[in-house]
Amino acid sequence: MSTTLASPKRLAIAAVPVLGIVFTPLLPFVHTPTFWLGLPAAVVWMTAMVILTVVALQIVERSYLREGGAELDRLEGERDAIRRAQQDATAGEGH
Amino acid sequence: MLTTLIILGIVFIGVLGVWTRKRQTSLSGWTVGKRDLPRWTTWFLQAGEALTTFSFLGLAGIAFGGGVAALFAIGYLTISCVLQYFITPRQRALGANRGYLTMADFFKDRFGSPTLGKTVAVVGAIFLIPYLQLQITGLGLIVQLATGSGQASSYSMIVASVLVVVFVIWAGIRGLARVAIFKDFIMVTALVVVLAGVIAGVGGIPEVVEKVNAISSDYFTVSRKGFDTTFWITSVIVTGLGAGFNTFPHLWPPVLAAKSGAVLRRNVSWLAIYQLALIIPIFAGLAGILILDPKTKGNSVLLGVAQETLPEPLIAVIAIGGAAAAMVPAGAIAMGISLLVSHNVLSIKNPKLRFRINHLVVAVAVGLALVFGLAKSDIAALLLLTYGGLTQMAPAVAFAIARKVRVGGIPVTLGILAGTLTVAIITFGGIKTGGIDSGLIALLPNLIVLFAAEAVRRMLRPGQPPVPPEADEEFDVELRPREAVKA
Repeated sequence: MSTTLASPKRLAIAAVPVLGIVFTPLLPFVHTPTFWLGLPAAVVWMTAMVILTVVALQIVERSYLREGGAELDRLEGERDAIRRAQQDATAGEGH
Repeated sequence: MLTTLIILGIVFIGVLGVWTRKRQTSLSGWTVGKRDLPRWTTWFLQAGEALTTFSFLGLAGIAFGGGVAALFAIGYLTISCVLQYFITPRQRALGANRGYLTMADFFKDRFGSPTLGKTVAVVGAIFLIPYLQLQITGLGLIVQLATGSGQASSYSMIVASVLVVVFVIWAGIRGLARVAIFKDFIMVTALVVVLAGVIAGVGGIPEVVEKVNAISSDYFTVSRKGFDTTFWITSVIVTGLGAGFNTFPHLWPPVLAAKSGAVLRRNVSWLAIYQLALIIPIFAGLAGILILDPKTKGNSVLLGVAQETLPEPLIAVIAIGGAAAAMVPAGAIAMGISLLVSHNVLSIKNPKLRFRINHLVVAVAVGLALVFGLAKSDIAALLLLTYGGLTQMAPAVAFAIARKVRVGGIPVTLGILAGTLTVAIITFGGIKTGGIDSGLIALLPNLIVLFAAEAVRRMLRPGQPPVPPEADEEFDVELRPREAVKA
């Protein structure tokens, strides 16, 4: 359980598609001309990595919210509301 | 007829930026509003970097010459989404608590170093100018390719530049947001039109792939000259780091203006999907191999394919989409440059004078870019130069977002200067790097100088904290909210 957004576990989950993207040219099916369903394998692979990125970030987001992030978001919202009210009051005084 | 349609489209984009928006009267309101931009407004501002003139012109050109290596753009933009997910909410929270308006404010405050703030502002403004020029040149090129008229190109560049200055000065971040929404809709429409044209005029995706493969199978590996494995890995790392650590000064206002960190997190967690739209210009570039002269310039490929496959009114849609793709980033970049200059470099204390000077800098920056825009430039090369230079701020961002800053401002400043100087020497000195991105090479001297200077600082001042107490976050939470509001 961690309320730190960039916890080692969450970073590890998010790193999977990142590594898949960085090392794309080294993959055997990109290194040699390969086609899947009439499409270049590199295009299919990159599409899969983009989708995997979205899935990984959704998992990370849910884990963060579940482990205390939702409460931190609520506190941030309260603090921002106070700040905006102070800002409006300061602007009002200015007029 | 085509020229008139395009100019009308450009004017429409400009009018959208000022229409029904109250004129902003303070630098803070102009830059970040009340720091309460809702999710979808923030989405379109954040998405701005994905669909630019580079997507329209540069990317199809890379696919035309380098085949699937052009997918590197989807790669670095996706990686930047992952990094931004973790980094931008923190930058936004610090900005809201401490009243930042720019990236340079963030560095100045976190390291307690005005020198660093000014260095970042100067480096940021310098590297943004070619990026601004790129957008305006790109716009002119799109119109020229669509209409075949050099005169129409010049007119459209002038009209678009004037309109960008007007809507940016008038409405600031909110005007930009309105135009950004239109931009994304028209660009996606334009890309679908391009795809339809290619399918109708050249063939379906499998058919095009088969025909290109018959010419050379190299197009489907990352191995063509100039677009090999080294190019891919180093460019993806450098550009991913640069965009992911938010080292582009013009991308800070949307982050600082967002309603909450949660809004930023939710947006970037989905934003990667957007990058898939870039497969269309890459596909158009591949189709270009079949129907265009092999000597066709890279930047002309997408519109060349469109001209071969589409009727005139649809070319206008593509050209207006391209114009919007230039005008939104141009507006954001002009805002970024003007803020850095008026707020950080000149540090004008009088709020009214600072706001006026800021407006003047918007006009001067866009005017300069317009003048420089008459000289034709290679879009992809310029973009990579900008990314390489600005990425030199990534190590500093990494240190600055930590709860406790553990290195001093001077070592960080020296590191950034060493890195940027290295990028400039490699780029302007024409030094061969064997395909390795100059920005990645420059990170090495950057980090060496940073750590060496930090070691010297620790030797000279043992036991002394690297940053002044007021730069500490705990100090901020309890004591500074009212001060931050006034700033």
